[in-house]
Amino acid sequence: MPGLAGNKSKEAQSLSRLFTTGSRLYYLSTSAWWIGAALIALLIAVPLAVVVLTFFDPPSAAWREVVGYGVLGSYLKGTIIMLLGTGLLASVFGIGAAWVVTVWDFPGRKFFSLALMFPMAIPTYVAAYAYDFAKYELRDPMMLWVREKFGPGVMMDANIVFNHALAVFVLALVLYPYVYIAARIGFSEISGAYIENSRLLGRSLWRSLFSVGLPLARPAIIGGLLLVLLEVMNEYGAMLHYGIETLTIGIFNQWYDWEDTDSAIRLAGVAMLVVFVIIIAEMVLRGRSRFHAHHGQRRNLAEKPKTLAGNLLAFGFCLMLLYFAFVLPLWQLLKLASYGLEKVELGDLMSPVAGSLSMALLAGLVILAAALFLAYAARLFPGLSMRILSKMCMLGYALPGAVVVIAMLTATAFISDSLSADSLTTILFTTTPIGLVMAYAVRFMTPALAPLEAGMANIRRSMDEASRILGRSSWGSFFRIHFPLLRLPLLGALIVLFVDILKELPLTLVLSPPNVETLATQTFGLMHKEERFAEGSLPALILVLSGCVGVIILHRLIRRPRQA
Amino acid sequence: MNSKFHISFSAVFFGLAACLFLPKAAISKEVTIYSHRHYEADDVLYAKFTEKTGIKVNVVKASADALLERIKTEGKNSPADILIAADAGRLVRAHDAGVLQPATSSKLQAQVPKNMRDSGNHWHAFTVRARVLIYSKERVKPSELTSYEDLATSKWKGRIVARSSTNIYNQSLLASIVAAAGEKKATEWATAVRGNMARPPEGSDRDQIRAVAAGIADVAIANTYYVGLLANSPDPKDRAVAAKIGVFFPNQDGRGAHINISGGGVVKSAPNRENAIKLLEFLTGPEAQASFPETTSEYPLDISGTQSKLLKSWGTFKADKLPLQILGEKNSDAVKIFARARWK
Amino acid sequence: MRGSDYLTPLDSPAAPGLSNDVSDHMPDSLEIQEISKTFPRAVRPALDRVSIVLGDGDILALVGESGSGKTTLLRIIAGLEQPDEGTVAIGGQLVCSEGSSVPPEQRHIGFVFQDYALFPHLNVRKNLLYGLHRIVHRDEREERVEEIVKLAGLDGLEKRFPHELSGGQQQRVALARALAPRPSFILLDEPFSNLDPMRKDTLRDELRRIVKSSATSALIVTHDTRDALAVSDTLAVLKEGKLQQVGSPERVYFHSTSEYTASLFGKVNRIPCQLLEGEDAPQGSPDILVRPADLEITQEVTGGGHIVGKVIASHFRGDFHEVTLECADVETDSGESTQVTIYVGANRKPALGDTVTVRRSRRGEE
Repeated sequence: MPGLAGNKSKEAQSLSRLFTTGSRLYYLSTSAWWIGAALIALLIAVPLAVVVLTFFDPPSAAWREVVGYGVLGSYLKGTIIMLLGTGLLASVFGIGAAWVVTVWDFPGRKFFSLALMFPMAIPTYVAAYAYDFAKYELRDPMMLWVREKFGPGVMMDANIVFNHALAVFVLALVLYPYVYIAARIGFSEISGAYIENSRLLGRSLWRSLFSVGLPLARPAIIGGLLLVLLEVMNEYGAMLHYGIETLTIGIFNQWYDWEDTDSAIRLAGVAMLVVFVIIIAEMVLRGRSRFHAHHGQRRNLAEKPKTLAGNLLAFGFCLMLLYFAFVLPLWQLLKLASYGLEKVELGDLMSPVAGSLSMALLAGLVILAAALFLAYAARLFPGLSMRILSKMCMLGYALPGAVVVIAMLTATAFISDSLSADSLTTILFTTTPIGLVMAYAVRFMTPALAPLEAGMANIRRSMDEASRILGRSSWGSFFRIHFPLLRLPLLGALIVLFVDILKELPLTLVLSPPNVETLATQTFGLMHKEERFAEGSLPALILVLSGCVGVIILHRLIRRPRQA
Repeated sequence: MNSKFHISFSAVFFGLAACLFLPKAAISKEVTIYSHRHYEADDVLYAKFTEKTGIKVNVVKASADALLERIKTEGKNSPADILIAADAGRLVRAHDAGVLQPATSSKLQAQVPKNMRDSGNHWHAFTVRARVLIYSKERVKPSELTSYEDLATSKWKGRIVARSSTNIYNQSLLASIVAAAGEKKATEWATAVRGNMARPPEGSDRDQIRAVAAGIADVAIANTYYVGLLANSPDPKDRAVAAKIGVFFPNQDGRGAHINISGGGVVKSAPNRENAIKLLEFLTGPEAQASFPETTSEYPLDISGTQSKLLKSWGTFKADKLPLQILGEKNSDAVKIFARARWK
Repeated sequence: MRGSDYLTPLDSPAAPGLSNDVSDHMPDSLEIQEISKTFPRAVRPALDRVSIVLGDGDILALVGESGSGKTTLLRIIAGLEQPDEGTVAIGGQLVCSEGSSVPPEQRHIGFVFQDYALFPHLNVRKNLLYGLHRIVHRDEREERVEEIVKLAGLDGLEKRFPHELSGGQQQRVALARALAPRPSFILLDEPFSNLDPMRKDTLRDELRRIVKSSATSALIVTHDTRDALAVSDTLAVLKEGKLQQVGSPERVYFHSTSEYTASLFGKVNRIPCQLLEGEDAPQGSPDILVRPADLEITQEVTGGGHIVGKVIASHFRGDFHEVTLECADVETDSGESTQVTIYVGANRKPALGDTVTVRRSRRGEE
């Protein structure tokens, strides 16, 4: 073409001008995204890598004792019992509740479908303390009867069984909402249309739910169950309270009492293995169905129960579940608080509350910013490497807090040793809460990143392209288009992070700087260490109430009609 | 989001952040305590101290380990004047770490018995707690009880409850047994007592006392002040528990009952050394000593001199004279022995 | 009917401003040369040495079926994709060559997306302002928005949000937004596919009016040949990544250079024929391709060259009947009888089973 061939030198000039100024800058500014994402992923992956690497060092004497005296065995036994028991019971509660509110249009159904999520707001250890009364008012009389009938040996066993059962029951009561929410979505959104079809083909609603609803909702339910199991792995306060030896308890025992880092790391490695097995099991159980379970329109499948007995059954089930999972613990806390209020001046409570809330907000915002960065980087570079990076960042969520603690401290020690920067640990964990925020980031990147990624996926690619073509850079487009469009997921993620960080116990307990006390550590300190239940019930109540507010806001956010 | 929102949001956010990071403004006449003790009765005492001396008291409450770590890292710039811990082992550890300095004061010399302070005066106790046997008044005669060692005999099969070995009080008790009888005997003791338990170790000292009251077991190992906390509880159920049980001080024919202390040491870099010593003198002085039995049910330094009705009702006792710093030294042995005994 | 000719010759005047004829004293809005692109794991190239010139003020429609590579070409021009080979020059300046590329935000072009890509959190005015950040003065920005609002007929809609607009209004906003920063030219990706079919023709003409009165050149990608014919000054046909033909709409329609192009724009009859003596064709005996509109039923049976057929189907199409004839005496190479489609006026519909004679319509002869 004449236009090109004729002005070759001029074009070459303009070309070189463009490529030396605009383009180099352009590639630099975009590669900053990639490097930043890689750094965040590194921050999260390095501590975990250190745990894995230390696992292959020759074991210490303490570790040989842990294995030799059967301690490891009992940690594993306790962990597996809790996993199986809580997983099973939480599934029964969660699927049962979802089933009832899906199928039956009984009086109070609307109220229950929201209220049945509230137990989520109760931190597991708070629930454990609130159920403390069961030990004296239920267990001890039972044990006396058992001893009288069967002798002291049987009582010893019965006592162990009861403690495990109570722990399973209490954990299942506050963790079942994960399954409940997943199952509700599963029944009404994923399989709703198929259930309707099945009914048109002449099957009853109940039979349709069994033959179509459950199988189709299975991947979602198993996803919810996975969260329950990970929470059980993470549990510290409640297990300590019921005297159940789990891997998480073991890690802290080795760390605190034995002061043996090596065996703590090894236990952390074993815990990672268990989590790995859980995740593999989840993947196998979900199988291929994982991918085609896309969300459809929400369907209302409920019909009025035909008999009074049906009404009573549905109402009664929901009422009982809500009573045991929420009303009773809350009532116990309130009762204790009525004693506590006499002892504590509310003014004294304000400073830990403010400190705790600001810490949760600060850490939440930092993590959210990192997650936002990752989500946008993954959008700019939709390739495999970015997908792997963002998956790496999500790894920490599966790991128990105790493992993250060990990983963070070991990695910091390792790095400060090799850089001979002695003050690193001090700066991170003693004089500032930077290390704690980093640990929160390792553990809670998933609840921040997952909704943002989903939100990003809802923004059409053409938005980015339109913005770029209208002359805005990748940063400019981000602040003008993506950030405002992600308002809802950002708010949702912030609330989840805020509540999660507020109630987080094991990480905060170990890694918070000495003068930073949160509601969680205060509750734990007062209730568990000092056994001042009355005083401890006040921070516990604040935790529960902020959790409830979080659940309500989230519920509203989800229910809000999407923007066109 | 409009700009007004941005501004107010930033203001709140940075304000909150500042709360976290900014150091407290300094006041000249003050003393800063790093304390492991969480009693509000302590705060009342500090207020009295301020009233008497005009010295303002700042308190940082956290676990003793964290506080020690913090003093170490703050180095010369540490604002801490006194480190207060709730057991001797931690104070020994602080002294070993070199963060404490001697507090030379004739008042302290006079007010604190020799075995309740560091040989070099690096730390001084101000309260005493005894680890005792709590028994059921219904099912056990005090004459059946003798010593900690006696709990290992078969007559107590299925009748004992005790808390987890992760607790520092149990570790200190076992450390005192290691000091008295050696590691081998101590291991045998821990294994036998574990075998005599009515149920696996769980819960707190208070839970053990409750178990005795409920009839699950006949004897519990617990600290004295827990009985006090139950007896003074606002919950009538707790008071009923306290009424059902008796307190027995073991080893009265031998080395005496195991005791531990709460105490404090002046930090080496203390900016207000004189004020710190004044505070220690106050805590070990007559006014504070008289208040501890009433508020926290702890023993004063002069164990037999207490006027507390509750403490007196348990009777006087002979305390183990073992230098308390030994408890710190034998702690790691105790932890390992508990693991071997499967006393979880 | 002469066998050497694919379609009946028609003397249509060459469209004015046909890009390929434009002299080079003024740089073309867009000039792409020898662009090739193969996606990873694809069997054939998405684009195979495509060259197109978009003249100043011209509207060029790029037509092709889905998968022909037309959207890819558009995205390469915009800088959203990188070609494997070839160059893109905008206003005489190279923006893409040998693996180096100017980012989209620096190309200064307009783009109207298939889904319009209106920012849902901004109202119409703010959407229009979005690309005007390079204008320093606020007053000038406002002035330009006002101007473009008038041009696109968006008066009164400035405060509305995208989801409060009809499809046609959304399209006009998208177009106005693309035009607002006075780009070198604009690209439109399937601009008519989301429009209500009832109002599509009006909206299409409106779009052409706006583009023309803004004096901006435009490259429109569409799969709808009717839209392409109506809206463009120049047509380019793309098939499986290869450019088939470039020319005025009339030329491409009536003088298609390939059977593919011909059938893309409408129904054609393929009629086998024999060479007259003395005539020569490279591939032996050719077929003739005739559009139904170029044929008519006649009563006169004079001379050769006409075809006789029996009516085997007739479908009402509104303005006309589509009548299918079976012509037993015109055999294909495999010896089957040929089917011919004719459009017949509604009042002249033959009955099923009638035998009729077909000839070239008068329009074709003129």
